[in-house]
Amino acid sequence: MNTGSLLKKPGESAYSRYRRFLIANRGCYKSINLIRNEIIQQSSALSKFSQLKETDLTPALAFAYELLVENKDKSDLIDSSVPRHYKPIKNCPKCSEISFHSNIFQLPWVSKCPIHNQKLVEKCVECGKEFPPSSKLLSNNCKSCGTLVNTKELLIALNKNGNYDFNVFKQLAEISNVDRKCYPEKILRFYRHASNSYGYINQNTAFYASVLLSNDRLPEKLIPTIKKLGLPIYKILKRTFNYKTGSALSELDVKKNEVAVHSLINKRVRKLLANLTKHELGTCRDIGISENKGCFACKVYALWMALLPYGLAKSFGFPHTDVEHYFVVSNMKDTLQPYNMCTIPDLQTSLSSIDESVIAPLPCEAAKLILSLQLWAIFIHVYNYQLAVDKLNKEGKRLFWTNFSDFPPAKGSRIPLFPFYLSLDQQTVSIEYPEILSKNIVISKAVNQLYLKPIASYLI
Amino acid sequence: MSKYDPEIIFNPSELFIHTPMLDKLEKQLHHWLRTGLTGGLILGKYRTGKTRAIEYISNRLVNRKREKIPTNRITIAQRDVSTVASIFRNLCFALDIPLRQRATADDMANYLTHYFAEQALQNSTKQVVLIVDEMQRLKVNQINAFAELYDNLALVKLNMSIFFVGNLGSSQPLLETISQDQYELIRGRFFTHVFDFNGISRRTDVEHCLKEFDKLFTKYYLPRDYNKGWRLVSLGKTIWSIFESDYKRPLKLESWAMQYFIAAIRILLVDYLPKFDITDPQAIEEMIAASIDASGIRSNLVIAA
Repeated sequence: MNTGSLLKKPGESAYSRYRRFLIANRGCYKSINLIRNEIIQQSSALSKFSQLKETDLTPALAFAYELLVENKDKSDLIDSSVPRHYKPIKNCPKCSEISFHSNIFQLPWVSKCPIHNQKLVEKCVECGKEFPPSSKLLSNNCKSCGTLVNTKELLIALNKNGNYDFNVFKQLAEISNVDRKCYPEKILRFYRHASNSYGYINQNTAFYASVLLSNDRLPEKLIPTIKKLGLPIYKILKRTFNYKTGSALSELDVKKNEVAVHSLINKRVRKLLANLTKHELGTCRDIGISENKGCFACKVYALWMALLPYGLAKSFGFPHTDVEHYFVVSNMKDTLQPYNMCTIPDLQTSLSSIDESVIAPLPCEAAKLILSLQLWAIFIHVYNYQLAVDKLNKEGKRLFWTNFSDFPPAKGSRIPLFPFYLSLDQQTVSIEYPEILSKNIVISKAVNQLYLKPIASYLI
Repeated sequence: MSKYDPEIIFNPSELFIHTPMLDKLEKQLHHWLRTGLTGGLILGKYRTGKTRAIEYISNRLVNRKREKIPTNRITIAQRDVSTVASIFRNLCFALDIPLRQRATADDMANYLTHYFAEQALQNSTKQVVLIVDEMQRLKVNQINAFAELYDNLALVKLNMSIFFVGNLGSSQPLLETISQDQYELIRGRFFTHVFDFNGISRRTDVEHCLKEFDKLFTKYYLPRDYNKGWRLVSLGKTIWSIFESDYKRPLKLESWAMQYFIAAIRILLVDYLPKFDITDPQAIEEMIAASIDASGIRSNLVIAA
């Protein structure tokens, strides 16, 4: 069997690798099972693939075979986990012609091919159908998105593209860590094994964060490339602390008591959250305020919904049938820690009833929002809001809160929305319902001022 | 059977003797490859050992950086159908490629392009070699199959060198056809450089080969004489002079075909010398003449004539 290395390009995805494997072996296979059997016979290192289902098998097997032929170290790189729900596939029309696809294309915020400057599409320009998932590639006979490729035409196209530097994909993949594991599903979707998965999500949000911080943190030579990807580059106009020198807390006057402050907030929030899970909170509208565009939870949900078509939230974010998913803050923490942006209490650990294996990741877009709005301020805000809710409950006014999972994201469903409000200019934090929170939160000119207030003043 | 098993002398398909022509061919192929030639033609008479030489050399081709150049061999079979597809199919079988029953010529060309390209990618000079044996059985249109593979690889800047090996006499019709203007493209690619592969044509060649026999077999078949210092190579001059006077000139041979040479030496070493007196020059001359006769060299030429 051929490995397809003739069409190899730097920074390609497992999907791309599998497609070129099929193209290179066209005419010489009858079925996936025959391919599998023939390849497995060649090395005992590949025997574990005999246990996999046919649909799970092929991209990993093709990759493993390539490694085997190239005599690379197989033990670490042959991974039996493979993408199954790799949909919809986005690709550049020109790249598709030369059987190339990159994981970078699957990132939701990437809209252009940095090589051809073409807009990414979800449907093949040749046949008009969606790009086939890897399990359907074998039977796809489209010249542009399948395996029925005229070798000569392909090589001519490849030759024409020879001047392009595909290394840019490798470079970008290294930045974003999308190729840490071979399969794009892991970077885009919450995976079954939480310990292995949401880290990738966060690495990608970190990548996006680095884009946000492009003026300060990205190597200058990369900025044009990132612009080529069609990424919106946001500029944070003003920060209330110097993130380069340390965490947000490091600038506080209460620095000496940093640990105590952190611990106090953490403890308090855990307690409150534990209480909150027993009740149901209303949406912004339910508690008597108009739905606000600045509401953090509204934004998160809206973004989450926007990511549904990309398969990001379909199974794990807000499942229709699965009820075991939660909004977990630890992801935000992981995302932002590399940038010393803040130190966040890990709320996930406070919810002891939650099974860690079903933690849903925070969508990348939400992480972007959190970053741009400065997360520690949100936490102060959450904390105070929760205090207020708690107080109201004590007074007999019932406000209920529940897990997102109780509200499937079907049309018309009720979604719990937290009535947090942060102004988008990032300079002030104001609360729209003073009758609830006026005692604890004051309109601030700068986020830092929240912290500068004695922590005791936030406590009841 | 190990390589140095003395019994191997009775197995013509396994017996291999290093000849001066072998070195010459190897040197020539390396020269062609290092100068970037896209192809070449190796012509020689029947039974001169071209195929065995190619078999031997195909595992030894290296580039300037001493990296191995992957070499593939195909022997063209005589078929009723003389199409390009049949060449691709022949190649797939020769290279042990698992073909789908209804694989088209396009499918096969696609597979073979990838196959050779992946081999070429293994060395830094991006070279791969294909040796086509029995090229006289090809039709001129079938050479386009090789040209297509060459072109495909050239598109991605990979270098495929295709060497054709054929019989001097029976290749002439094909070569004459190729020499026509309309086949200039094919001729220019593969047939501008020719290497003449001959059998044994000098006394020194005979002595070189006899030294090889001494290394491998003399001590087993003539152990007593071998221990006394006698060597087969000492008969080199006599053997050559008998061949030259009794066979080469009368039969108008240009060289001694390896098959007949080896057969003659085998008979001499295994059947005659151990049984008769090797110190008697007259007896030795008779034994040599009888061995050469028994090798079949004469009857073959009678039939050919």
